[in-house]
Amino acid sequence: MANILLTQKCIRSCPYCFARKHMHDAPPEDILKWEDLIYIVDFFQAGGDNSISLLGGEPFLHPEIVDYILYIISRGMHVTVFTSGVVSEKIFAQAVDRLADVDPGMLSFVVNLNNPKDTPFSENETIGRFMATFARFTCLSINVYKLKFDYSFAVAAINKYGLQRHIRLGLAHPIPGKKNMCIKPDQMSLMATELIDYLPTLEAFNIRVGFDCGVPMCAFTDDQLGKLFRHTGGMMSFRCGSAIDIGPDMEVWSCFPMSGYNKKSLFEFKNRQELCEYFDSFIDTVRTETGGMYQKCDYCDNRLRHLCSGGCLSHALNNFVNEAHIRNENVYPSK
Amino acid sequence: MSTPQNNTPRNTISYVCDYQWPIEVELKGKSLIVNVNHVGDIRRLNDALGTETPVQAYIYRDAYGSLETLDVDPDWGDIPIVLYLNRLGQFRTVAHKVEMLKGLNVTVIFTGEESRACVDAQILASLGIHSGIKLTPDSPLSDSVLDLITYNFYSQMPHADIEPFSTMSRHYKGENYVSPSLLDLENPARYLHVDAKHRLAFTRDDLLAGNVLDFTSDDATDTLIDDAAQIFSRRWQQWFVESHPCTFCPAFRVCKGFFHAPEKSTERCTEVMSELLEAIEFERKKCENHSKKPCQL
Amino acid sequence: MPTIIFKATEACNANCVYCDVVHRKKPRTISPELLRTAFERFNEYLLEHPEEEMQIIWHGGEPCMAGLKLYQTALEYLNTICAATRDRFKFAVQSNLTMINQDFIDTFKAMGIDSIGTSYEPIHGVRGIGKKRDSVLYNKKFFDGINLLEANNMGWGFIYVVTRQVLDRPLEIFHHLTNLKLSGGFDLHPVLVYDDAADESMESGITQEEFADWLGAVFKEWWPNRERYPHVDPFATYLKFYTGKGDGLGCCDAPTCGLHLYLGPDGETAQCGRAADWDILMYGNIASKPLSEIFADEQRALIDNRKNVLPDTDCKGCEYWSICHGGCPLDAYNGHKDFNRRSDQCLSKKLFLKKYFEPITGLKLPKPQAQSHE
Repeated sequence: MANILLTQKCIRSCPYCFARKHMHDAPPEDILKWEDLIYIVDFFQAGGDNSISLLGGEPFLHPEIVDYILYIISRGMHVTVFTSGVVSEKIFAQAVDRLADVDPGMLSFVVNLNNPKDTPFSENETIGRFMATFARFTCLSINVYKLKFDYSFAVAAINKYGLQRHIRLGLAHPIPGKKNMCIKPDQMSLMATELIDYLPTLEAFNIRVGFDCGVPMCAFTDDQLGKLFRHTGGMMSFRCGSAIDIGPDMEVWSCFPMSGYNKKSLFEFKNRQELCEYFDSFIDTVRTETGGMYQKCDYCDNRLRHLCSGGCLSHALNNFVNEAHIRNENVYPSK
Repeated sequence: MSTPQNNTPRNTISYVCDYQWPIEVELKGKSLIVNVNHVGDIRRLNDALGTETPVQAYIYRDAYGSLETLDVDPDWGDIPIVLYLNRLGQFRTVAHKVEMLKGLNVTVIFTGEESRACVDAQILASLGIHSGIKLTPDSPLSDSVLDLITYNFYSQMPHADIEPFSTMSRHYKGENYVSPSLLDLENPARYLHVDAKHRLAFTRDDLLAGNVLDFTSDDATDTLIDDAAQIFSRRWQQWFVESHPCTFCPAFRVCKGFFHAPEKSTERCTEVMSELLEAIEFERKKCENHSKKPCQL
Repeated sequence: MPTIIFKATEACNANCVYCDVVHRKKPRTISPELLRTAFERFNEYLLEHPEEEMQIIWHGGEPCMAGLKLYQTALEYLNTICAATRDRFKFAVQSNLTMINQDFIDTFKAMGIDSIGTSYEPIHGVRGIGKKRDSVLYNKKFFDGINLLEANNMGWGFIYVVTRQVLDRPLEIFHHLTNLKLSGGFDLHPVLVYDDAADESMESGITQEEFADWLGAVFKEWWPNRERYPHVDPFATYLKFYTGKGDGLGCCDAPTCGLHLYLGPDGETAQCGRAADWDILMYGNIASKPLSEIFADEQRALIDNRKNVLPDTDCKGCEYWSICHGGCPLDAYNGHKDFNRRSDQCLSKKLFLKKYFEPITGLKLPKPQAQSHE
């Protein structure tokens, strides 16, 4: 599935944001054009995909996002929009007018929710209004960026607004060479324990979590893995693949932490298969050179058996950013 | 436009007329293409003309309107309609109309600002709706047009035809000339433009200028039309008699000087139309390669 | 098969700046008596050679200037004098098409002619009607002629003569010619200007190198688009030769002039039109000599022998022998006063093939199967 960045601009300042500088530097006209959207949809639909994700920055900053969503749905593809829920009055009115009656089977919103205590009041109001209006389309996403993370705000939001009873759990990862709040490698186990301890609360409210990519398997004990297995119904993975991100300028890269590495243009690829093979091969090359986020990943049985990728690649790459170029050139950011 | 030959079977001529005079009576029995002033006239006129007077297309033009302001009638059914609109409008506003268009026999040609028109045409074509842009001799021929040509001929995803490229491609046989004027129904093998006085011409411009044939729709015969069509089809030769600069252009065969204007540089139109020629030949070769050979058993 | 270039008239209505034909104050046209004699000689030859056919190419000047009656008479002689051999005649005609009408076409068609060779010039002032060289009028009449041919389902192909006036615009000219005839169907020739030509003609002349480079510039455009306009010579012929698909080498490229003959309006015969203009290789008059004797003239042996002599002399070791054969013997004579010399025109051919054709196509000349003593 392709992740299309409609714009790289964002109006929030999440402490864990790995793209803050990148978004700050993006020009105002940095929004995806219609012809490029059509190209992307053609590209992936020809490759057999039947869904597309729209991201940012904040995708609702794109002036024609509602049009784009309706267009993609007209093409017969499911649309998932990853948003903060902070939407301008004008765009919100358009969305209410045109999206409220869309088949929920064709549209999903994933609201990336921060703790309201850490969010300005006006933003909370806006986000709340969004969730209330589009509850039947919406599930939550939260980013765990520190220990003693309070999950209760997510449960409260789901209950208050009647959202889908599922939380997409992401770990904040470092952007190689940049400063952002994230869970350090030596904090993974503690984070895991805190999460597992909270599972009964989630289950009491009939809420399930699913992981975003980049979580190392060894952060969990066998017992914890068992609980997770039961909680998720076995739907968990500790492997990462080449998520394909496409920028508004049609640059393509493999997941945002890798956005500084080996960027290509989508136009360089003949088809989806070629694109995926390229980035899969690239990730493999980098993984071979860097290993996992821990030294022990090099001889970890789970990694060798492809049950775990060794955590997010960004942790490993972070180790090489400031060193002399003595390794495979792919592990260094593009100039 | 193919050059009629004596031994080439001719299509039935369709008469292109405005709906400003009683064509139901005066052109009864003839194959027509009707320019209507209101979309609301289409069904009513279609019912009035019935099957006795077949209509190849109803054409409605709104130089300033968009699909937003147009009343799309789901009961148009199979009636062939060509809409010339300035632009698509906001997709979110017209999305439901676009869905309706999918089930109708409608072509939408955009006449507004070129870059926007190209995008609008591409949007509709990608959704399976026959669309296009209106090229005129003054068209800037921006990169948007090149992109649209690329999309129409080289896109790997199926999509609807985009005019004028698809019609030009369909008519181009390698041994004949075509031009964007095909979209203006300038094809002596197929169309005659007729006015309220029953005067005839092969182009609307000729008709309006009074540059008409010496017979009317009342006394037109196949022979008269064929002879007149032959003469008309040779207009391109005048360019060569004068050794006009356009005759030295590699793309003349798909343009025939359509974009010519005195003092105007030909660099851009040469570039764009050369690309179009290559794209048309690519399409033709693709069709030839896909054609089935008869079984030899 | 003998080919007779029958110049029934020297008169021409065109005024071409590069014309190398001898212009007389009173152009000659063949008399009806001599026309009859010609057909008697044709018939006589074919009766003597029952296995042969004969090609007659009506030429000029402008053949139509001889008048319709001449050709109607010729048709009558064909059907009467040559009744027994009529089936073995093949007729062709080279015309500028500016005087063609339905009567001419009917007559030509009755002779079995289904296409006409012509020539064309897009640049105003190089060719036209009258002293002022009215190119617009000329072209208009030319197209009237084309339209008439097509209305009668007749084909046409043309020669384009490259002059100095177009040296700086090869691609423009090429595109113009292919816009005129969409799939090609024309032959590119260099202008031939001789030392005794008028000043105006001299100004049109081009060098061997210039022609080769002009052709090369055009070839660069033709090669990737050859499916769009396949019938452009010399490219198509060279391509066939290089790929072993045929040997359409004619005239100056062929190993021999074969049974080629020029027949003029006064009945005089020569090897070809230029030979007649230069008074060399003259074979006598049909009024007093039968064709068998004319074709057996010992001067022909001189030309035929070139293919035996040149590979060991001027053309020794030349890799392009098989596609050139030393060029036209008349050009050789013009340059060296000796038929057993190589034509100086071969330079443009070699240059074009070596500098452009072979590198662009990646093709190499097929190796000759035996030593080239054909």
